[in-house]
Parts: sequence; C-alpha cells; structure tokens
Amino acid sequence: MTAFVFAVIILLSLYFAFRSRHGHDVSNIEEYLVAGRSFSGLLLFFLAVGEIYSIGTLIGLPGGIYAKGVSYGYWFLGYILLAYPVGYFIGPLIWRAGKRYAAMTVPDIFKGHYSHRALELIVTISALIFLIPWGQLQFAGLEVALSALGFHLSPTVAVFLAGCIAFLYIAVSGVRAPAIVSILKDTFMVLAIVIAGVAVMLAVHGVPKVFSQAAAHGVSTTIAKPQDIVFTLTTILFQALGFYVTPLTAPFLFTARSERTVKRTQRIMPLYMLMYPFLIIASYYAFLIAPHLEQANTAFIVTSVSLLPPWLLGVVAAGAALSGILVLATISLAIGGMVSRNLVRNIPQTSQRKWTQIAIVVYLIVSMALTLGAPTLMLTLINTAYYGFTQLFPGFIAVFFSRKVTPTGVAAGLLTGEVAVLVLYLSQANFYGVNSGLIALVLNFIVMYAVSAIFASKVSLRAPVAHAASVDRSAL
Amino acid sequence: MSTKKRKRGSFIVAVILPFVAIFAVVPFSSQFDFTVLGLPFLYFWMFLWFPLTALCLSVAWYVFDRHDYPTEEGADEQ
Repeated sequence: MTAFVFAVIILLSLYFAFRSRHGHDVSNIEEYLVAGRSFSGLLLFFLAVGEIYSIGTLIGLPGGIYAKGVSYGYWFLGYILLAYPVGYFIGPLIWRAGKRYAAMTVPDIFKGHYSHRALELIVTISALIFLIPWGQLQFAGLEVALSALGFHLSPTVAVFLAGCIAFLYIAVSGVRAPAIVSILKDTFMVLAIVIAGVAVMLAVHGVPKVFSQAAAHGVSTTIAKPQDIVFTLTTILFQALGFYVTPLTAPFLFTARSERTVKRTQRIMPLYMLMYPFLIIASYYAFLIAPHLEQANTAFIVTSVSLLPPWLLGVVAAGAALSGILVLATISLAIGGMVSRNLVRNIPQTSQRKWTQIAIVVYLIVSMALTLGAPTLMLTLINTAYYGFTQLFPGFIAVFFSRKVTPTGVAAGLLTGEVAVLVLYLSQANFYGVNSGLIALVLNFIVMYAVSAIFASKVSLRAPVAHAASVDRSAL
Repeated sequence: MSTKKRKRGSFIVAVILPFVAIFAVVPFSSQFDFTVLGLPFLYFWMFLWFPLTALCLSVAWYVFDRHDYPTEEGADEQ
C-alpha cells in the first residue's frame, strides 16, 4: 500500500510537470530558465517553498533537534523566519537587477553591472563548486528517508531514479515544472507533517507530555552556554542575510512578473512555517519511543513509521522524495544556465537551451557517480556549501547601493571570503562560537571596500540598482 | 510622508522588530526555563513570531510601501 501511494504521487508529479509546458514556448531560453518573468505571487510562493523546504526539512531539522535539542531548533527556525524580512527588502532589488540586465543566472547580474569577464567567471566557478555538493546532499537525504521508510531500493537504483525524474521535470518544461510540482509536493508534505504531529498529540494525550518526557530524557530546553548563545545569534544573522543571494534562490525571484509581486509574496512566506510546530512535536516523540537512535536524522521518519497507517507512510515517502527531487531539478537549472550563459562564452541565445540540457545531464551523472562512488570525498564542500555561496552577499550589496566598489574589489572580496570559509572549516578554528561564515563575510566586505579604494577604477561604473526608479523603463 | 520617512518606517517595522524579538530572548534563555501552553518557552516564542512576522511585513506593506510599488500596466491582467 505504501509503495502504491508513493508511486501514484510520483507519477502524478510527472503528469503535472509535463502539462505545465502547455501554451508556452519553452524553446526560448528566457521562457525556459525564468518563465519569461511572468509568475504570479502564488506560483512564486510555491516555487520558493519548493526550494526552501527541501529534504532537509524532514531529515536535517528533526535530526538536529534529536541530537542537540532546542539550541539547534532555535537557530534553524530563526534564520528561515528572519530571511523573509531580509527578502522583503532585497528581493525586489534582486528582481530589478535581473530585469535591468536581462539576467537569468546570478553571474548574469555581475556581468551586466560590471561588464567584467574575470569577475563573471569567478562568480560562476565559485557558485558551481558549492552547488554541486548541495545536490549531493539531496541524494543522500533521499537515501536516508526512503530506507528508513522501508523502501529497500539499492542506493544505485534510488539515486538513478531520482536523477532521471529531476531531469524529466525540467527537460520538458523548464522552471515551470518545479513550480507546479511544488504545489503537489507541499500539499502532501504539509498534510503528512500535520497528521504525524496530531497523531503524536493523541498518542501521548497532549503537548505538555511530549516535552516533559523528552526533558526527562535530558534534552535541553534552554540555550545556556555563552558560546552557544553567540553561535545561535551569529548563525541566525549570517544565514538570514545570505538566504536570498545564493545562486539557487536568487534565480527564482527572476520568475516573478514584477517587483511588486516579489515584495508582496514575502508577506505570506512566514505563514508556511506554521507546519513546524507539528514537525517538532513529531520529532520530539522519537525521544520517547527510540531514545537511542543510531541515525538521529531518521527521528521524524521513526515517529511516522510507529504511528501512521501504510497509505500515509506512502504520502510521507512521496513528500520526502519530491522535496529532494525538486531541489535537484532547480539546482540543475541553475547549473545548466550558468554553464551555457556564463562559463562558456558566446553561445547564441537560440542554442542555449540545448547546451543547458547537456550541462544538466553531465552534472546529474557526475553527481550520481560522486554520491555512489565517493560519498566522503565531498564532505568538506557539503559542510561549507551554505557558507560558501553566501559570500556573494557583499557583491550584491555593491550592485544595489555602491557608486565606489569596483569589479576588482568584488572579485577580491569574494575570493577572500571563499578561502576564509575553507581555512576556518579545515582548521576547526573557534572564535568564542562566532559563526565562521560570518567571519568570512566580514573579511569579504573589508577586502571588497579596501581593494576598491586602493585601486580606484578608471572605467565609469553603472548607477547602483537601488538608486534607479522602481520601474526602470530606460534600461536595456 | 516623504519617501525617506516611509522607507525608515518600513525598515523599523519589517526588519528591526522581528530581528530584535528573535534575538533578544536568546541571551536570557536560561531565565525562561518554563513552558507556555505545554511548549518550552523558546519554542513558544519562535512559533508566536511566525504569524507576528507575517503581520509586521503586512503592516509595513499597507502603511508604508504599497504606493511606491505601482501595479505595472497590464501586469495583473495577464
């Protein structure tokens, strides 16, 4: 029964993905990568939540809470929540920059604003380096979720199928597919989470018991150590700032039909988070039924398996699988777009779609091979991926607001930030618990401004994006 | 209200308020070792700010920002 429900939902998702092409000419690269900048607030909302609430929602958060208690939960929820106020301000600016420079990828913005090939390449390559492990994380999460749910597919088959489905989504319909499939995925995922949460409340007769019994197992309910307090605050700050500028998240803002749509959509984003109380209650229940889980990441799944009927487990499995596959699909689009538009030079617009798809196939095959063949090889990059691609933040700030920062400054800052992230991670340095990504970000800002001031550019810089009128009709 | 004043107002309501709310309780969390509605205080506080943040953003939009983002001609008819 579980497998049947699972299969039906996955097939349904393919049907929706294919249908989403209807009435749109996806041979046009702008239509293919950013839906011709035509999405309504509702589609933008679903594309966003499809990407934000990835497999990590069902695997990473419950696992983190199970292992570390409230201090993990507080920063995880805190940075997502506070990303929306940040997005309320910089989201419309990202869209405006995208419109002004006809951007379909993040490097397109830097290419358009600075006309500097070396900077474009540095942005592209650093984005690619950190995006590839982000995709692997989805594959790995899928394996954990599906095997804990009792699907005894071999990892090879599971990874291969996930890669194929992700490719089918986007091969046919481009970015419209993940937006439409996300409606399906989020309906089922929220349904599964809420039902699991309610089932726990019924099983233990009320919420207070879940937490008091977990506390009896020694789970912390406060953030007491000074270092943990510093870590919580700096991590929330850093990740909330970087949330919307990653090479994965910025492009979905380009699909919106206007700045107004981007800004208005941010208002409702926090409401999706109301499913988290149910998810957290379900995760805490794992303490009561399985206090010594070998794999903390399976906390939510263990609860589901113990309380839900088989057909609902099929819904949980499909929700988990779709959330991983959806993110793979959007990563593929981001990578394909960057390869065909930024890495390789002078591919004409008309053949960019073909090259994008070739790049995607290569990316998926390499990713599958790395996941299966060398799972630990990429561990460092996986652990530093978020820190790495958040280093684009100072560059964006320069594009939005600065008349002084030069392309050399942006490139120098970005490289400094990326190197700092890797050095801090590898040396395991600890500065009173301050998030190492934030330290790298501060260095990045300092170098960006210093280099710009010392080597003042002779070329004239374009007016900052934020200083133009909100509807810039004179732009290219 | 001038544009500058509107922008400042919007920034205070939409960004400063939620950030302060989420940050301020962390250093004192050991003093909040009790439950509200059965939830440990930190979870209760976080969950409370999901709808409150949406409210802050909506207030900023209706009071300060919406006139600066005119509907583009034809955009909503598509």
